[in-house]
Amino acid sequence: MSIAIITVLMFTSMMLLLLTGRQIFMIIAAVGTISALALYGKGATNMAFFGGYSFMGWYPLIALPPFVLMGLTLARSGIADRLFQAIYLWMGGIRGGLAMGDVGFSCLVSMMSGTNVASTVTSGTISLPAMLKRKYDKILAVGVVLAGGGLGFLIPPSVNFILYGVIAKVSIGHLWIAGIVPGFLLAFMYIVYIIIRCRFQPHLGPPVPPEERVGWGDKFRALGAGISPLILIFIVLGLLFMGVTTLLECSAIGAVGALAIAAIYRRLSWPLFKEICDETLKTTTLVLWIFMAALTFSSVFDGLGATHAVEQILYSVGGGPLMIIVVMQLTFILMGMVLDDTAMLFIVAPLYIPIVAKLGFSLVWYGVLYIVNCQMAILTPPFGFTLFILKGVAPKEVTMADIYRSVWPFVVIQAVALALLIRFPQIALWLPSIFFRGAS
Amino acid sequence: MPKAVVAYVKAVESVMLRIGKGLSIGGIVLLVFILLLEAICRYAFNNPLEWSVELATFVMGTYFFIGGGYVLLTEGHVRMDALYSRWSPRKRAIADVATFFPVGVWLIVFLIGGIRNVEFSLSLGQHSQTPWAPPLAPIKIIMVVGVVLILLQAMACFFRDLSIIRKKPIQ
Repeated sequence: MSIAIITVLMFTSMMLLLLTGRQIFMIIAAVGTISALALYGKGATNMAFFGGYSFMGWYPLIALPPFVLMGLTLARSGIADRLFQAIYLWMGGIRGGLAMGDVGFSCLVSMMSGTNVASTVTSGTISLPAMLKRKYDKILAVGVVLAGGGLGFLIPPSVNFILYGVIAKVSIGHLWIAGIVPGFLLAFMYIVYIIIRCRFQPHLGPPVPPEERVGWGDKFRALGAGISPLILIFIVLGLLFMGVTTLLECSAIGAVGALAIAAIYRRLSWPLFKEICDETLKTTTLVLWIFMAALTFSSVFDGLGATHAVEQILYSVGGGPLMIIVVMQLTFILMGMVLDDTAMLFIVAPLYIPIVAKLGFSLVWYGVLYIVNCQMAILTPPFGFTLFILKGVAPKEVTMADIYRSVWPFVVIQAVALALLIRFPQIALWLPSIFFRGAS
Repeated sequence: MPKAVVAYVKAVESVMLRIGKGLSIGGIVLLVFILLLEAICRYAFNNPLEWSVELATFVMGTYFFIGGGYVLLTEGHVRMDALYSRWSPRKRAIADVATFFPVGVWLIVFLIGGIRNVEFSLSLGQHSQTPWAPPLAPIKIIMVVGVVLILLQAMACFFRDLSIIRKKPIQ
């Protein structure tokens, strides 16, 4: 059997089995193991175990649970409410202001949480009801919350960049810095879109009535109350970027700092702490078992020399190195419709990264492209995970159909941003180049 | 369902819940403690610990390997639920029973490979290639235990699904 047929068979059976709703990691691992047994016989029995064991050499993964704990603490303890209160008071009076404020809010929550799930849940429970209460257009409000939640992928401390960095063997500090400009560029594009829509269709985002607005004193007081978690984030990231502490130490400092802030505001209780720890264990375990399963799956290809085959297929499209990158992005978008972002990374990245490196492209830049793709992947129906998560936490009047309809304008904006990033790699690479001048 | 099966399902589930409770707090507290200790030793006492990162890896490995079964029980692992979420509980149970078999193959292969690796490490007295040089068998044994736990829980889920299909769900 040719490599191409094996590859197609493995991917098709995986996609079909995923439809049964069995846990994703189990399907990926089962397809990988059974293919390996069929291809290599008894020699394949070690592969599943080695997939798991190779983890022990990947130190950056240790930062995962502390960062997840930090994000959950800041999101669950109600500290984020204060931040939104500030945004509400500052932006409410402007047409579409709450929607724009939510984009900013999402950026800030993303900085606190590092995962898009946490930031989508936070926006979905705090700012979505507030917008709906103010008679904002449902479709616009839902879209903003979903798109804003995805910013968590790009803005440090992004957990997905840690995972990519582990696979591509790239410095995670580099990746985080590279994500900043594209992250804010996307946020800016969302805000411009909201301004334009609300300029021509004012009923989409009516301003808060004047009698509910408050004076400057109250505005600044609210801002002060909302800002403490951000100070923590700047300290944690600052320590890392200045080279004072390692990534792992930063994650621990962030976790303890977040708990301390929650305790200072008297929001930390024993039941809440237990709940946060439980959630941390679930998130970490979920991600790492998918990771492990995908390693088993992709190690089947190692034995086949599939990287070479994929390279051949990509070259056969023609059009030079940049075209290959574009084709890779298209495959990401297609796979993102069926797989979640972590599974997509772990299955495809080991195949693509050597090719990207060989073509002479920056792996940091490629990482940013991948992350923007993740944002599209989680938003594109039929299988966008964030969509289901939002449905779970959104007010009752938001239907699944509303959610499906709401994402398209933002997916288009993301595609534009992706094209810009491919055309102008400096958007991602400029900040790291001045930051790490001399270092690399 | 036979009494023995019901007893098995309940025993496994209660063990998983207990493990999850202890691990979720104990694991993360220990991990953060080790990482902070390293930072403090390096700065305050100018005395970096050569074992901290490696020990943290082992704690991390224990954390998510042993946690696998608990997360399976509490439905923490993602499913692609576009169709699944629309099905009746019975239809879901049928799908899960049908897909149990390929998954079982993986878990058993995982287990065989793991046991063979542990035997290898024990017979050679394998140590890590670092200044600290801890023995490697313990973490491999922990991994094997994690696989056993997830296999036990997968079987418990399987029996529960069977009982749903037979319309006499285990209470």
